[in-house]
Amino acid sequence: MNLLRWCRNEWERTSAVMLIGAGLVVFVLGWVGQQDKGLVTEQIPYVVSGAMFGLLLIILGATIWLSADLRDEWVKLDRLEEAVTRTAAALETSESTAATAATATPGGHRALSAEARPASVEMAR
Amino acid sequence: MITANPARTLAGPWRETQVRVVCAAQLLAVAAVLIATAGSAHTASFDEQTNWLTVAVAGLALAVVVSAAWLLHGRRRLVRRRAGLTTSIAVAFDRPAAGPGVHLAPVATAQMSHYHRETCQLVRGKGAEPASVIEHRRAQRTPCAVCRP
Repeated sequence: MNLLRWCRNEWERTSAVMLIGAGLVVFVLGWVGQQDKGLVTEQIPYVVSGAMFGLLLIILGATIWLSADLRDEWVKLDRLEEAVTRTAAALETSESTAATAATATPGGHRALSAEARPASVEMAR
Repeated sequence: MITANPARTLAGPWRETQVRVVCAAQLLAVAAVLIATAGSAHTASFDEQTNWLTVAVAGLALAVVVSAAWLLHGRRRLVRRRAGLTTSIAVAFDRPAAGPGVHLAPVATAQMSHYHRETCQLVRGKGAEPASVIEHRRAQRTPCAVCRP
């Protein structure tokens, strides 16, 4: 059951494994098929169908697997970017609130001197 | 300020047109190998089989080139985006003193025209002071090309 769910969620990796497995099977079948053939003209079809097609399936499977890895990392960067954007916005809001409160209090202008001013407040300007 | 990446709505580092082109090219490669398989199986002539073998090799080469280009392009976009995000984080949350004796902010001396990472060998022993990226930029300093802060 868990395997089925995993296969559905990870359909790219599932198809990659299936392609690589199929490629290996085709490769072996081609190898076995050409073994008892004495003529080169009889062996070439096995080379094309076994070796070439098997290799092609393995390449496609590997490409799909690596693409899934890249896409996963891309989605993680999406989440990270959202989290950073949220945190930066919250930080700026809290800092601007604190700056407003500081200017409202007597002597508060000292707290907003150039040295003490937060970088995000500077960036908001 | 962190800006939203315009490509974030896509499911991955590739655009839809690229996906279509790569799928079409891979289908073409598969078709070439399958046609070569059928062609070589239905002839006993060595010359004709060699021709079909060439078609199969061409299909395989197409698949390899397209796959490599696809993966390299995706990886390049991922690396660029990661670098952009790192810079955005550094600018947004640039605060000196991440721990005792450790500064996240880049360092420079007053005479320097570039700012550096604290660990950069070009500032070792020169008494460079940490400051935010904004302050370095105000002082007309650019990032060091060696340590890439």
